[in-house]
Amino acid sequence: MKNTLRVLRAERDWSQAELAERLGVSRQTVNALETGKYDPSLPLAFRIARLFDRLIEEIFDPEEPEVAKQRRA
Amino acid sequence: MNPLEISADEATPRKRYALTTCGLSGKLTREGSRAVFVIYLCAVAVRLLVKLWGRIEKTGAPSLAPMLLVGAAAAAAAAGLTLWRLARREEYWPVFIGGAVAFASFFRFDDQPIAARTVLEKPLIVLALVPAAFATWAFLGMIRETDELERRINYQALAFGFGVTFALTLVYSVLEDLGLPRISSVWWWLALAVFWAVGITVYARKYR
Repeated sequence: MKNTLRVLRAERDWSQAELAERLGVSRQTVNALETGKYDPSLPLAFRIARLFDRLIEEIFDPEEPEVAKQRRA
Repeated sequence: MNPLEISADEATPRKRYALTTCGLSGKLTREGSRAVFVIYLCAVAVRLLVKLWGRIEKTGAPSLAPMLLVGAAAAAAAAGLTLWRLARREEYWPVFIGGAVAFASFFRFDDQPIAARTVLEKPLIVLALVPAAFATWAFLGMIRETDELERRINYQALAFGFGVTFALTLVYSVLEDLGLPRISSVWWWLALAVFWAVGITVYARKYR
């Protein structure tokens, strides 16, 4: 799933560790989310949306990221 | 409350034990390491004092025997108290490692049969359940503290460890019939732990 997490994080000048702490997850999880390797659960997606003051669909797009598509091809 | 507002509970960072990012070594503070060392020393002291008590009883120096027993009880109490203090502070890693170390130190990894042990050494095996209970509690605490990705990695790693160990156990049981040496069941549990750790390393890499 594509997402704008990295952009939103950069806008606030947060490190992955900072974002992880705010969300109550590990830095590894934030990294996996940003790279599209892991899709969050609904509760985590809501936490992310609330943290960035956006709707879930404004952050997450069900379209596959390019990296995953290329790997599968 | 504004639905977009983050509740205090969500905004407060929790103390976390990342099983997959730290690996099985985890993060031990200096204080935690010291406590684990104390627990280990106490557990070893209990074993040695009880063993010595058994020898003295046999050779006939009864005046020393009560002192050794008091010493063993004091060492056991010190280990238990140290574990309890750590547990109250929810220091999961030192409780887990300390409990596991104390549990393991109650067992001898040699071929001595249980019948050859002294009268007090046999109930000591039951006493080993106390540090095991601490270690189990700490382990459950660490699992509870993991986030959803870490839980998924652990789930996959456990399935991997269980599958590989199950297959190996079956194959080796056939090989035992063909003449290979008989292995204690303790080693199979150790194999499960090792393959689980391997699984964590492999599956954590997938999400990096």
